[in-house]
Amino acid sequence: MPNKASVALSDQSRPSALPDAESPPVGIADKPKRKSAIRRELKHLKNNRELFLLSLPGLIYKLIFAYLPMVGLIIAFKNYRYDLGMFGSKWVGLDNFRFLFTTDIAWRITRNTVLYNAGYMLLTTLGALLLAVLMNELKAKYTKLYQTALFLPHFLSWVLVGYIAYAFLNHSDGFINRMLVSLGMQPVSWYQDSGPWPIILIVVHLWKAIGFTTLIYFAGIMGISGDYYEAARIDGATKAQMALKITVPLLTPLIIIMLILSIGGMFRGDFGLHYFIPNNSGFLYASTDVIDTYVYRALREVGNVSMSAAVGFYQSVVGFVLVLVANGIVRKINPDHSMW
Amino acid sequence: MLKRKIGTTAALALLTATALAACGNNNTGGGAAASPSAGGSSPAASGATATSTSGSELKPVELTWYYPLNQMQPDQQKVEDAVNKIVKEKINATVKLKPVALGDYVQKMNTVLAASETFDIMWTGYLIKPEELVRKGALQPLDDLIEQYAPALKADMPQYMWDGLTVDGKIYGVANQQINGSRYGFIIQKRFADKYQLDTASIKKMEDIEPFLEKLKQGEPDIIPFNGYYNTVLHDATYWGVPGLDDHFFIKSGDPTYKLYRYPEEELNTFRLASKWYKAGYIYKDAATAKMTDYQAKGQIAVDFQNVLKPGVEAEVKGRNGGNDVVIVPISDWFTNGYSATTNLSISRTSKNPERAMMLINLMNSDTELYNLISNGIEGEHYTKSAEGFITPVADSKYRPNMDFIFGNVFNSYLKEGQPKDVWEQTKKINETAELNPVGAFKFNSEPVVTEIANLNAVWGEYKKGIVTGTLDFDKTWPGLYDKLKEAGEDKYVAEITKQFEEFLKTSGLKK
Amino acid sequence: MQQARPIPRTLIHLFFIVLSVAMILPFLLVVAVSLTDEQALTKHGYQFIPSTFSLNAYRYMLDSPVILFRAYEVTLLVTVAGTLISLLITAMTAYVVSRPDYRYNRITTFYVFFTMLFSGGLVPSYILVTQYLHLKDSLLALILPVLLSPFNIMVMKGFLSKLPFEVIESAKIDGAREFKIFFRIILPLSTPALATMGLLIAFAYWNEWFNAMLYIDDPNKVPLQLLLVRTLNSIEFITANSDFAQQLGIDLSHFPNNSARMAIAVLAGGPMLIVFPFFQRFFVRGLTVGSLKG
Repeated sequence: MPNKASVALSDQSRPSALPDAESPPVGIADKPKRKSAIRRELKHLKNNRELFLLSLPGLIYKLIFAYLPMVGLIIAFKNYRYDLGMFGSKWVGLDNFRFLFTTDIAWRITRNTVLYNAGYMLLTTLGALLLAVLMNELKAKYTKLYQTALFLPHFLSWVLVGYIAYAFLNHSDGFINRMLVSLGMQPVSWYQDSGPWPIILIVVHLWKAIGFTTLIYFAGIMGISGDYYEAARIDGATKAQMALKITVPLLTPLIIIMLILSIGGMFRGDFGLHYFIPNNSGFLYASTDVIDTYVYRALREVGNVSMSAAVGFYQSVVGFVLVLVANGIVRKINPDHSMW
Repeated sequence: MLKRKIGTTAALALLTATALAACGNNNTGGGAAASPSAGGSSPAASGATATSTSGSELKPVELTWYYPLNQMQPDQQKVEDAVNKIVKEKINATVKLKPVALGDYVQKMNTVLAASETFDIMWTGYLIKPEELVRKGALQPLDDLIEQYAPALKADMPQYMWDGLTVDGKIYGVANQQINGSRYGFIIQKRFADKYQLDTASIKKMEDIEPFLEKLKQGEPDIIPFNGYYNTVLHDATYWGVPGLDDHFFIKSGDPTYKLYRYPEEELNTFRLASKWYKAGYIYKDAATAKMTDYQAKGQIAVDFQNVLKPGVEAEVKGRNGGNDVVIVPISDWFTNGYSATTNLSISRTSKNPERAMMLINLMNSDTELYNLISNGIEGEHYTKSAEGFITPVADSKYRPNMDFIFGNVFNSYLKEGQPKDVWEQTKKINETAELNPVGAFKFNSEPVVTEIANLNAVWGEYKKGIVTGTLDFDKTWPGLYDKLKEAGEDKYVAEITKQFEEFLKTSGLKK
Repeated sequence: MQQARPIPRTLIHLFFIVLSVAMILPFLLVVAVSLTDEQALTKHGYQFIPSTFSLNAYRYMLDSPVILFRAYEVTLLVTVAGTLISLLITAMTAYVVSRPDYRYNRITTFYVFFTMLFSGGLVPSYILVTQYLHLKDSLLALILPVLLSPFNIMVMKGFLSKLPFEVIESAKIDGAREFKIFFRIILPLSTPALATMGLLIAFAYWNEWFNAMLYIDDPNKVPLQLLLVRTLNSIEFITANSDFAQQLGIDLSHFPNNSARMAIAVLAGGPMLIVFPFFQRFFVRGLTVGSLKG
């Protein structure tokens, strides 16, 4: 199989040979035709029944544990009273959403949330890809060691990371200020100066999350058949060429999935990171406050189920729209890579 | 598509079937679940109840009681069994104790309540205020139950405590009596007070401590003279704060018109004072963002400001000040907002046996043995009692909740080693003599302005620490902050409060 | 180019070593603090080398070993059972949606993905689990609510879509049924993917405490993380509400603090360091198509 690599680079999973792909589009037919369309659909279902059965446990699970509780979304539009229940409570329309949008802060928190998430997404993806590709060059016993090290931060909760960050950043005896002083520089009041925080937050995010994403991409690389590399080696390709021409293209579907997954969460700020690491310092809100920390601060004392449900719903809807757009774009470029 | 439909309907059918079966189970299962635990103690208990008149006519029930604990207790079950022995004998009920970790209590209870789960008793208080739960429809009114099952308790407790638990004319909780009053002032490390010969009698108001702070600043370079000003003073010579709001509403003492003042100059002056002290270096440069308790624990903070200087506080805060002795300098008398529902037991709307729940609450407040059992554990096993009646927990005690105020009347608790013998008499006296806020019983219904409150809280959350520590220059910050508050709905909030406050004045007869 | 290879590899190693140290340092700080005497901590702050060595924090946490062991037991049971079931269903669902020829793959993907964005929230789920499924105080309440994460299914789909389609096609031509293809061909072909997924799922189960907080009242069924997080939450709570603690006279001196916090992290995360290598054994390049055919 000398030219396997180039074969692989064209899309290897084209379904054209299969009967189902030839069926005409449904729904444009008139009445007698529709009948046959239904019959045809039944036939399709019969053809697909085994795969359908394989997915059935998952579908039922989601129905019970995800779709049934979704009736609770209604709470976002009600003034929820425990004694009146979900359906008996008074309908208040969009009232619960009001608090998010009445002040100028709405702009600040939305901007921060989106910019941070976009930054995290971009840097994590690039960083993790790089690490995974590099790791692929090393012997297994070393990669195991490095992987474990990279994954360690994943086990620490944000509360604890907050304490560790405080040990580094606090004014009088934080490690960083001690170092600055010993170098003859002025100590910095880290928790009162919002300037450096975008960088601090990005570094902490990468520190905590990159091991996780690297692991996923590394597993993706592991799944690539060795044949492709073998063929490329025979063709005399360099390591760099192999990474760019085999690894990355074959990882593209996975990368796109990961990106679309994070786009869905674009409007959800990472509460733990943005609350505990800046130590909830009011001086830093200009550059650290995201939707979730703001909502926490606003609703902590009010404790209003309906208003927090409203925020969640708003974040979901925006995330959903973004995902639809992103998926649409992907589908335009290459239909095989789109999610649906 | 058909297969899929079948799958869906089958799943739905399955679900409803289990749901129905489960519902059916609920009635029988509930009884069955209650009986084994009841059965365990029944031979002994039934013998006892036969002679006791109150217990014998009641059918056995199981009560569920949620309350917070700062640490789960290994011997919980053992104590629960001992508690049930008494409860079974007295009111022929068993109680399922459900302690919840303090840090989880609010979230868990809000979920349990929002889901309308069936249970009987819950602790309400400072963290999860009965008035808010009432407005969400979670609690049941107790007036008739108290009248019928706890008349002695009703008479024994000062009326203002019942008033504090009254929402829209009905009582929604039974207070766990304890200290109920505030007195603010300074906690000063004794070594510095001695060294700089501080005349504590000369300190009558905030500003009077200034010369002392200056001396500390000059003489003690490693010491932070003043901790910061974190607690709002709700009562001074001129003003009474209106409780339960955002700490920025006041009335003038003795004003028959009860005019409301918002951000009076006197309040703002304390913030200005903080700015001044911050600039002078009395307050730590990073006080707004550093963990000041760390510095305090090292004994580096000379003067602290506190608003509950209760009897015996010197011993309590010594450890927190690096083991240094402290002197307290109160700059106010004892005062109280009435009872602000700090710690109580309430009965859930979903309770199936509210009258039995009330009997248990009554028992917790009247039966000294039962109360001390649940607060301290079993004598000999979890604590020992000296001849004078002081108790000491045994080493490595497996039951030591250390939260007496959760369970009932604290005045019924055994004295702990080190407590003054007359501590409860002293405390009762404070409760009786503390000056009472004339508008302490005002209860605000936040529902109409909940959006505005959320936004105002968010704005204050951003500035509060900077202001109380003086880090932000108050006069420079305030105009901008005030604009933001306006934008967040300040006017609407004030208008709503003014309206409800006027109604309160009328209905309570304070104003004709 | 051939000659140049050894040098980049050392460079790569150097890069990873520096990176690993940066990752581990904070963790070492956690371990160091957990082993430092509390008083020394207040005096000198956090230090990488304990100025006064002490095991007190662990002694506090191990106060009642019976409870801790029971908690490890519960966690282990939930993690193993949960991971196995979850991995199977995740793989099944992901496999089906990864099949380009499956007629309903797009709609199924959408059906699954939608649940990642929209959820009914806490209260309806609580009602479902406690009042309809009656799982309060049941270990199933720890397993079921987090059984199937859309994120995992999507990532798994990404892994599986890389499998060469010819394998499936040729198996079909040989007359194999879909179940057989899945269990006999697909699963063995995707061990690295399964191991990764298994690891992620196992971590999720290991770290899960929120559902336990909601659904478990029976002290004998409390998992490790809840036991530890509960203590941590209470410390956080008391420090954040010190005025409340003071008003009610909660004795703070009795509370575990800095060192205990870190000991909690070590006790909770430590065992995972043993689990990690177990899964890593399967991180080998998947079998080649050729070897499978042969």
